[in-house]
Amino acid sequence: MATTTDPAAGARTAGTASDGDGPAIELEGVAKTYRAGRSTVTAVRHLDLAVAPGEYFAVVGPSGCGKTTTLRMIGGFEEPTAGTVRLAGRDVTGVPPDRRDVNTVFQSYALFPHMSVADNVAFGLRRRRVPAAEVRRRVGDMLDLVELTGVASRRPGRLSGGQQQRVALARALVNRPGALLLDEPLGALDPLLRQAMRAELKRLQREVGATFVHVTHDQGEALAMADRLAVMAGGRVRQTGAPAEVYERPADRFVAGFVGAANLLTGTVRTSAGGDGYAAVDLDGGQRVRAATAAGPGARIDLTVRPEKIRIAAAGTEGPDGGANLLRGTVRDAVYQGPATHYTVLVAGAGAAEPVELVVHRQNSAAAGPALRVGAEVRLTWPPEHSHVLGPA
Amino acid sequence: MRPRAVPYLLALPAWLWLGVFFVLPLCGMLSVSLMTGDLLSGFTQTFHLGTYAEAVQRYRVQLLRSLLYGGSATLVCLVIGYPVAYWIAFHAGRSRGGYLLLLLLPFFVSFVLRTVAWQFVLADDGVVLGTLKDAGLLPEGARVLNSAPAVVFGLAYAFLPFMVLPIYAVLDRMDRRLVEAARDLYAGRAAAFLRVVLPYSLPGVSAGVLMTFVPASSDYVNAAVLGGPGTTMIGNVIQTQFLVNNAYPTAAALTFTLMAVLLLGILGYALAAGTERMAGGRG
Ligand SMILES: Nc1ncnc2c1ncn2[C@@H]1O[C@H](COP(=O)(O)OP(=O)(O)O)[C@@H](O)[C@H]1O
Ligand SMILES: [Mg+2]
Repeated sequence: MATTTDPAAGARTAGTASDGDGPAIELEGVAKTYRAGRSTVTAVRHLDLAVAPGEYFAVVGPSGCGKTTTLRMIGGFEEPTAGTVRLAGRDVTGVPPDRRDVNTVFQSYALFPHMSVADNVAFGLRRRRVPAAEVRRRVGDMLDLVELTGVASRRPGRLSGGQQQRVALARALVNRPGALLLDEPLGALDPLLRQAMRAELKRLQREVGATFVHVTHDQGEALAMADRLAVMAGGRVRQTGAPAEVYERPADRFVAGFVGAANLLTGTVRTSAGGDGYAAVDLDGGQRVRAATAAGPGARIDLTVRPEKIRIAAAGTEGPDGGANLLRGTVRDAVYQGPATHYTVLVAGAGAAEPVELVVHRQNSAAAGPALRVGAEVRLTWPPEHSHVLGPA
Repeated sequence: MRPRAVPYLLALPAWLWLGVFFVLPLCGMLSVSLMTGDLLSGFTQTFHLGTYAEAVQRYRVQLLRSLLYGGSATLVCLVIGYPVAYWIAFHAGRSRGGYLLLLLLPFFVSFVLRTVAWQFVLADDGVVLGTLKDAGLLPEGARVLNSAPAVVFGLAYAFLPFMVLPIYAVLDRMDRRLVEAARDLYAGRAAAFLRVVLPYSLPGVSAGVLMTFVPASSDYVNAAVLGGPGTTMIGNVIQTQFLVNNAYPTAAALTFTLMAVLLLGILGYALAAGTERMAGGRG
């Protein structure tokens, strides 16, 4: 075999050629229904997704929402019951995993127990008939990159969880796949290691410049690591966007509640938006707030306010509110969390309807006043741009 | 109270059992193999080693034949048993238990009875051969019984589950993601099997080979029922020497020789299989 060109390139098949700026991975109308005897389970209902080349993309959602199924359809381990999967612009629906230019880091790592770490990492290159000298070089480089050179000749069973995880990463990345698929890659690690591995994964991704698709049920992980993320629920994508976008402007009640803590409020538009773009909204608890919405008077709307967007102060310490939303209430609960204290405030309502409880996070910074006690009368203020109006749930 | 003694105490009945029913008879047998004499004048202990040389010399052919038949039966078991184990473990889904039961069902019937049943099935004018002969598909003189293949296939039939079960046990607990990982890393179906499934299952294969080879080599029922004068195995010789000729020292010496040969074989095999498993790791 000629060694003047990268032989791996010749062995690469479906979906390698990068055609301009098209998405590295594209799912169009993808659905998956499992059949188990006479019963069926629809794991993925209807999925449209596009992941750009070089992007760190996260898929986040509660357990059972279809994340693993989605990843397995990209990897080629499950065939969609409807829709199309494209890798670098090429339709790979029906193409087996060994002829797709993506590699998977399995949730349980699935390292070959009967092979050394080095042989595990070399597996893909050898299957693609890369010359032995190049295999040795690339495996060596990759083990250096994940700092496993010292254990190259050991069996995976003798390694710690963190080391096994890095072997799984190395075994996939050494093939320089068009995209790397990671299923809960940090799920099996203890919390301290998990934090460290977040940074490690990001570093790896930057260094190899590959497209990463990272599946997790941990919204904190998704927010911290992803360039863009998709929030899934019930086999559908609820929202796709940059972490700040998804967090600050959640599309619906589900996303608002799943990604970070949220105060969910329901109310009726009283007067439609004026010149400043804010409408007056009567909350079901009787309070009135202002929020940006195009809805006309009488329309029912849901809105959220993130706990850290609300200023909490003891009643009487009146300051300029500059057109901010103002609610008065009583502290029901205060939980000291170190950097911040989480308050639950019962907001006094005008009507006889159910009382409204708001969660407020206050940084315990140098500028913060004295701690507020349970039972203290407080005033809550936030700028109306942080009253985020939700779409239909 | 010394808690460390507890495991040993718990194992005591097992040790006693082994001592009374295995070690003692073995010592007795060893003693008999060194005696001289005959049934009429009685046997006396003379520490006569010559019996071994004589017996091995006289029954060399049967000894080698036993190893050959045992080895062939093991090979047949492996060729038939591996796919069966693989299929049950990977493709039988929830009916795995049912298929295993089917595999074991014939073994609820006595060993001898099953062998006799084969004799009936394979008889010169029996169900199979008779029908084929009537149909003109086989010459009138064709026979299966009393031939080496009949004995080998009888042995293979008798010990097939001993091959299937250990291989099945290993494959059944194998993480299916390993196969997917191999496919993910550009291995086709065949490469995934050869590089991952097969090496992974080698401990089961080793166990199966030993569990088949040892009893098959020392069996005498199949040779007696399905074989003829030309297929006598060492087990048949030992049986005859013990029960018919009452040549106890010769029978005991042959028994020990067979044990020694099998033990050496196992040892050599274990060493070879051990290194081979390591070599299997070379991607
Ligand atoms: N092989 C399968 N057969 C039948 N049902 C399955 C299979 N795999 C997953 N499911 C079901 O599909 C749904 C989605 O599963 P999964 O994709 O694993 O979700 P997630 O990874 O988000 O937890 C679940 O209800 C699960 O029980
Ligand atoms: Mg999952």
